[in-house]
Amino acid sequence: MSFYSEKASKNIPLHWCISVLIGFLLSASLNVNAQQNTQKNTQKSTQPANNSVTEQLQQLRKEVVALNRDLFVLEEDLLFPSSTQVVVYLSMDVGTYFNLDAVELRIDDNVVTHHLYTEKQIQALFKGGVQKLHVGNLAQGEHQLSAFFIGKGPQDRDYKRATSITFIKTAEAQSLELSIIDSSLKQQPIFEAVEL
Amino acid sequence: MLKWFNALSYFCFVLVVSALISTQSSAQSSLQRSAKNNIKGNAQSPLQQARETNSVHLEKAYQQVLYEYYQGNFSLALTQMAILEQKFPNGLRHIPDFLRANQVEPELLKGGISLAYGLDNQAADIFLRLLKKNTAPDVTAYSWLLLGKTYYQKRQFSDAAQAFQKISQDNAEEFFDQSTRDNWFYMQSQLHGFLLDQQPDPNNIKWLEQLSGDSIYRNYVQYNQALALLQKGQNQQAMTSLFVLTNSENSFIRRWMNWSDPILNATDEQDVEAERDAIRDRANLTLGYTLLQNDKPHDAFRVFEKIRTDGLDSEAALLGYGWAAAKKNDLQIALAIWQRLIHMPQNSEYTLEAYLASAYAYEKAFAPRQSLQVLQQGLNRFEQALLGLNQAVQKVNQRQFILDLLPNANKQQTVDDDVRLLLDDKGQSFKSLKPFNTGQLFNSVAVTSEFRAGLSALEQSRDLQQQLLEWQQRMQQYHLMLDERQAERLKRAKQISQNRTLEQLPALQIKRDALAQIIDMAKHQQDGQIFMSLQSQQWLDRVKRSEKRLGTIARLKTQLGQLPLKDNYQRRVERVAGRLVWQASEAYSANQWQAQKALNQLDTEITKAQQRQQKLLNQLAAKPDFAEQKLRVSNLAKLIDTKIAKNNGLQDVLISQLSNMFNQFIQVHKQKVSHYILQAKLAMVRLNDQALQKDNDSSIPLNQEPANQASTNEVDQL
Repeated sequence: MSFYSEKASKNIPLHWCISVLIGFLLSASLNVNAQQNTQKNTQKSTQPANNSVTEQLQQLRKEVVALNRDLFVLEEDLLFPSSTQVVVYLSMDVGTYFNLDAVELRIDDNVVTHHLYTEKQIQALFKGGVQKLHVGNLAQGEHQLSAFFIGKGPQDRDYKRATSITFIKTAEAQSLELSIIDSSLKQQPIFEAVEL
Repeated sequence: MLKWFNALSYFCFVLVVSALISTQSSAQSSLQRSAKNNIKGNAQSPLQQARETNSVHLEKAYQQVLYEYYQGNFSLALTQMAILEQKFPNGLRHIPDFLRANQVEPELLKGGISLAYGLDNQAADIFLRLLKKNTAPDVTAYSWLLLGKTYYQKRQFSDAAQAFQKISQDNAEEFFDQSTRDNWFYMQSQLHGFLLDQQPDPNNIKWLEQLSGDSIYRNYVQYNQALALLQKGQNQQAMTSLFVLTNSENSFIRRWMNWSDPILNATDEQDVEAERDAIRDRANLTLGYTLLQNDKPHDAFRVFEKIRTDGLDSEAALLGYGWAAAKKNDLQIALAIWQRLIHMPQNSEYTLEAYLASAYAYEKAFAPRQSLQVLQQGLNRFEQALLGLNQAVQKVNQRQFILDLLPNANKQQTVDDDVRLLLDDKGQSFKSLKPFNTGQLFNSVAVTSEFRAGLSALEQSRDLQQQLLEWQQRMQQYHLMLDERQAERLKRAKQISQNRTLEQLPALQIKRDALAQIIDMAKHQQDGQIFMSLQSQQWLDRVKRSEKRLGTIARLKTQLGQLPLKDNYQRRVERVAGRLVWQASEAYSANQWQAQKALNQLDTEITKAQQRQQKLLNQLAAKPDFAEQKLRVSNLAKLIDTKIAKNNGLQDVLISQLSNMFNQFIQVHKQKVSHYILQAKLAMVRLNDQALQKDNDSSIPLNQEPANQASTNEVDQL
């Protein structure tokens, strides 16, 4: 039936309202109606194929995770053999007295890494995460590691502190940990460096 | 007499040689290890130490997983988790308690990361395994929740609903925080309200009551409930529900910072507010049309006024706004609204329908000439729209068109944001076909969940490809690096051979044995003179020379018949000699102890040097592992190539699917436009017929340019 029928002058508004309303109620362009019938119908035809591709992609991603694992291990074996490997981790307490901005790491007075922290990284550290701040190679023998922490201290003041540790690199991989701990007793942050 | 001095010089030489060997050997002696342990003051057994070291390394490995996970780097977190599991089989069962805070059961976390990364099958397996073996109520509750979400993501709605129902209200209250609970309620509401194709569940009301006041899910559930009521024909209740939703105040969502945050709540505050506004617009739109249907144009008019003009529903709202005005006989206002819609560049169904609506309004206002004119304009635009759509079909079939929709991997943008901008740009690129603009049409494709899922899969595929290509390049570098290392090793071995470094130690050992024999002899003979200091030995030599001279002088004097020398000289020399011998005898014990100590030190250093040399020899004798390493690299490179090929195949399929989606939408739109053309043509014929019937005397045909176009312009200006 044509829109402009002979009875159009009487029925047109109602016809329009109803048709547009029904169109709207059944259309699903926002998340709210994402899985509504209209979309279901249009999706039905492509869904099995899509599912199959999604499954294949999922399987591929799983395989790539396993491949990544092997590649990371190979990389570590090749680039950082245990006889020379030194790893430095950084962990953080709740951060009441110190808000970390950056860390500079020196080994035997040479700057080996410098890291600026994002809010996400800080939150990840607060929640129990540990950052592998540095991994490198060192000759066997005695070495000194120094870490400089820059951030905001108590009362939001600029705060820069350092800590250092002397360690002996042996034939085994050496792991060190830098920790920022809140001391409620001193009302100050404490910076520690320990051998693991 | 000088033997002891020589011994000391040999000792120094051995030290130098030992140090030289030490630098050439990469191995560390066990003595150094024990020295380190002494420094630490660690009195534990080696087994205990190894166990503790292992535990610390496991802890750090797990904390690295947490570090990546809390940043939302799910791929890296999963990789770290895989490395952890490879290095420490069953390690996840031995994670220390302090890292299990916030109910982070490591297995559960692994499932959560898998879910967040899109590995639904792996996630489901983990949750089911946990549910089989775990009896802790908190872990069970979270496992059911995440399993339900996994099924929900896999579109297995019935399984999802069953999983959610396994969580008791009490457990949800106890173990979930507000945001997680809201998510749980919302998903159940969605499942029972729409997705399971069943009658609307009365529980929906219950879920709505239990949702927190400021949760975004509340808005969704309210809207979905209203839609369900409309579908059931309960318009009055639906309108009440929509009215409540449209009058809800803006509020800020709380940030939820516990462990499940990255899985269940990835939106930030700004996004939530934008989402809330969009829902409010949609609710107003639905309410407006419902009021129109219920013959309440005045109320509908006021409702349409609340919808934002820059929102997703602005065009649909303008169309309805016009109809509300028309229905309350404000035809001029209706025409003005529709004219505004007509002048919009987008060729959406609303802008195109506005031509037909305007024609209707003119006709109703007894202006058939203007009505015909608008229809003619509409017809032109419809045809242009068709032309543009045909060109768009060609465009969307190009591979690059789809690839260009992917967000830039270097930017931190979401797929949705980026696609919207890109599609707008692409829509604008059809400007040569003014006034056609496909941006709106492309956006309507982009908001569908199917398209977003496809694009997200394509993005994942693109990321995988980048990652794999990067690894492929690195494998080539590692091959070169191994070649260099092999050459360097040969060079060093040659250098060692040329310097005869390894031949020096046996010669030193022989010398050391000779010295030890001398010391033994001195001890056996109790001869203090062997241990005398260098100066004393020189003095003793002088005294002996003096004795010889005195003897010579005495002999010569006797031959010459002169008086012999006085005894004083002889006695004096004897006294000095006796004193020196006496001193040597006195210092015998101390000197002998010192000599033995030095010999022992020498032995220690020689032993160390021997050990280092042995290690160096072992290393030199060992078969080089370069071949093995190269094989490892080659195998991985082959694996990478396979994955790249597989990924390329998947990418092609995904691109084709996305192109098809665009094509389907374009075809539907083309059908609509064709329908509008038909409507317009029919209306024009009808109007001309009416005019001919009513005004047979008229000399000016209706389809010619009217003399007085002022009335149309006036309406336009409104």
